[in-house]
Amino acid sequence: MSDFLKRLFNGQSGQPEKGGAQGAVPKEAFSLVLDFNTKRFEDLFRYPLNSALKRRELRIPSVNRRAVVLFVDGTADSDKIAEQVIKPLMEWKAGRESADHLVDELKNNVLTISGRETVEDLNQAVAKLIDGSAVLLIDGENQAIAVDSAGFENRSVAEPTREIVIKGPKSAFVESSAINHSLIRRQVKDHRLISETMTVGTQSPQNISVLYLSHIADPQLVENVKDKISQADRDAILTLFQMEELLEERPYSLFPSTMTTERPDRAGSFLLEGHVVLLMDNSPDALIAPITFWSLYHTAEDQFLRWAYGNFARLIRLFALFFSLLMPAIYLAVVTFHPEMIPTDLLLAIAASRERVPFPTLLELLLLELTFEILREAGIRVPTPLGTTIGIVGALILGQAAVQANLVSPLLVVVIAITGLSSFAIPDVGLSVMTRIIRFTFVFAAYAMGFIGIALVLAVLLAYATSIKSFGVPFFAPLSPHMPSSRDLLFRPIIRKQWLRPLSMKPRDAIRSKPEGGDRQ
Amino acid sequence: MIQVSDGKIGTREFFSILYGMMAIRVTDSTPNLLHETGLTAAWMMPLISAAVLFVPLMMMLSLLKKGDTDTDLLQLLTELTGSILGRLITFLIFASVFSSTVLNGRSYGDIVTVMYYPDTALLIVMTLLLGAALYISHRGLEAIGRTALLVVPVFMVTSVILVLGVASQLNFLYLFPIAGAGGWEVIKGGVGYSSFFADIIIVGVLASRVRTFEAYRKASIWGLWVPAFKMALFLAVFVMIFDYPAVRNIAYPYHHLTRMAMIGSLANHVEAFFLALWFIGAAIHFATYLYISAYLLGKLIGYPPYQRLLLPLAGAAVVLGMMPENHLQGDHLRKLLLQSTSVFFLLLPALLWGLDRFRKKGKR
Repeated sequence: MSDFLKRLFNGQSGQPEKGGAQGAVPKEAFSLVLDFNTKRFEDLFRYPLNSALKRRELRIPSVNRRAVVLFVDGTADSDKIAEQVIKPLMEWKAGRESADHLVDELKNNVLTISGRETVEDLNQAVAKLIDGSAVLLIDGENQAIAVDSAGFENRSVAEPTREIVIKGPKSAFVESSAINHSLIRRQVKDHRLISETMTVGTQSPQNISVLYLSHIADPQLVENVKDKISQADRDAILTLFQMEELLEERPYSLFPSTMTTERPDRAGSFLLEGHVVLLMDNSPDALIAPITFWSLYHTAEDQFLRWAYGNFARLIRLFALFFSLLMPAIYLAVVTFHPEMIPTDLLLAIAASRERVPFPTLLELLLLELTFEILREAGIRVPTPLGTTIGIVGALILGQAAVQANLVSPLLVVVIAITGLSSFAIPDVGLSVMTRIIRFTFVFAAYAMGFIGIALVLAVLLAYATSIKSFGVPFFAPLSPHMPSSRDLLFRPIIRKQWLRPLSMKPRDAIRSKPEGGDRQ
Repeated sequence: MIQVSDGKIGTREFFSILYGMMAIRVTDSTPNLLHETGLTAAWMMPLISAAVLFVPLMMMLSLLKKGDTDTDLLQLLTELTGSILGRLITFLIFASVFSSTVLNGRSYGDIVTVMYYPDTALLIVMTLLLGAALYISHRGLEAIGRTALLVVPVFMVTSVILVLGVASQLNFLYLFPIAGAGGWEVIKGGVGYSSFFADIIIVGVLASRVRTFEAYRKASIWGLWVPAFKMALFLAVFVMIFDYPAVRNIAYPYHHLTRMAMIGSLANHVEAFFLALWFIGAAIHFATYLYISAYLLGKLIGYPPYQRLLLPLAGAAVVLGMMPENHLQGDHLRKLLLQSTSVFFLLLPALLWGLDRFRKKGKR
């Protein structure tokens, strides 16, 4: 009824909307006449106007029938079509009975290409064409054969750019979903690794693959993720990053509820813990859901390095996280509210250096902090040949000239430098940006109430962070709320003791290996 | 398989909540009250209180164990004492929890304005403190428990660091005479002030929110004794560092202690660090109290969406907390409250237990 009213008031006559690739393709069966079928494809692809649709007409000599091979320029590999479709057809010597089941005969015994299937209607055929398949139409048959001849341009597998490790595998995902699948399959060699394909985007459909290990991942979680994907109702979703935001439970929150990784080995280890991994064409990343704080805090290398080295790195990162969040706020609180904390000599030095600065500490801090953020943003956007300029401007103008011009005190430059450096040490982009934003809240709280302000904001922040969930998994699980796990949290135990999967993920099979150590209760 | 988002809390979270409720008493005017009565033996009093409270706790646990997992103190009350008396007792519990929120809120505000920020208005401190507590309690019991679980280990470690930081200035001999004002006086004081740990009975109203009875039992036993031992340790430390007559005259000994703590020779003023930690603890403490107050009030007036009562209760706590003219009045009221509620919380489980026995006999 409401649809009817909407159409009525929009002045449409009740016919389905025109335009859009999939929406306009009727679900019609093929006719027996080849030329008629070809004409319909040409109409759909606006043939003379649009040069995308390529066709190759031929006559199959052995049965003396006309046939047409259709494919979309740029999506299919024409060499493959020539070698594995057209050549076998021309060279085929038909037996007597094969003319009766021509389509099946061709599909099973003639075409040498491995991916091929029969398509019954136009809609299906167009979807195949867009995906890079070639469609073989034969005169006198009302079925067509789609052969998988996809030949999209791909770059080769390269090294990761965001999640760099010194020790460990060096391959990263690329923009092709097929290659990414193979990279993951290479990590997790298990027949129970399920890869379900779903379609998103109503107008320009894209495939999205949902990967999980069926004997580990919680079926409810998988269902939940798939539900969320099917609810994403957009005309086109081009990359996984748009999907990420559509999956998000709290799009406005500073805390992420999914993450992306560009490392197949990390995706593999997430799969083994019962997470769901999403892959999509055009996205050189895998989307992980659900995540916890620990997924953001850990890096792949923690497990590759020896126990002590990996944990040392984690300790440093923990400090970096706290510095990045609190350093400017603590400086401000100490200088304005609690100067007695500073040893006397240092206090005098600070006083002397601040003597000539005309601004209050807050303003001085905000000025420098803002400049640093601009510098960082500029550093990303600047073309590589100009990259060195940023370094010179940053180091010289900010470090030297600002101090000499009495705009900021030298100590503050040190504080902001440590803060900035710390935020670079945080492995995940989301977590890093989050700390940068929350940092300002702490600065204002410290300005208003000193350490009490910092304490209250921290308490509120913790209460918020512990109460949010990502697909039902609490953000700080399994530390708080406490659940049995291998205690691979702030620090990691040796690998022999990591026998238990975190129960916060509700794994179907929680035990990795023979129990030793860990946390049973 | 463990259900993660069932709204219930586990052993560690519940223990952390209890720790946040009771152990923080070390930092307010509680030590003063105890030192007044117990003199140099004040450190025994929390242990006596805990021992005295342990009996009613066990009685309550035995009653809770009998029911199914959804049994809590309020249900026991209505079941055993009837609707009207049950409501009256619920009201008394609510009154004691909420007035304790008000008086402690005032007391914490006073500590900040007296010890740290003499130029800041009391109203601002109280508003901010209860505002943060309101937010935390608004996120629900799960959030309170999880936040507490994240910070309580830090509190435990830092209190050890604090004691170590003043270790060189301690004098064991100050603890003598060991019995203080005399054994009988100390025991009497310990019983009289047992309501410092009466929270252990009050949280019975949350029993159905803990995942299993076993978790509840374990957490409440640990949650009674660990804060009691912490209190005993700090009371002893206060006497050992300030000596007996002086310790009576020091308003907030914990905060003086943090001023004396030194970590190495460079960091000789770390009190601001302890101030921050203490205030995080205070926010969680008041969040718990607000939550329990709202929960009880909601039950009392039959208003299921009790979360909506948090805001008016927090506002009322600020306004009422501003009423005493100075902190001495507030402390006096607090003392009255403690002494009057001690008997109540000691006898309540005994009453319920007795009624339960009586009813069973009647049935037979």
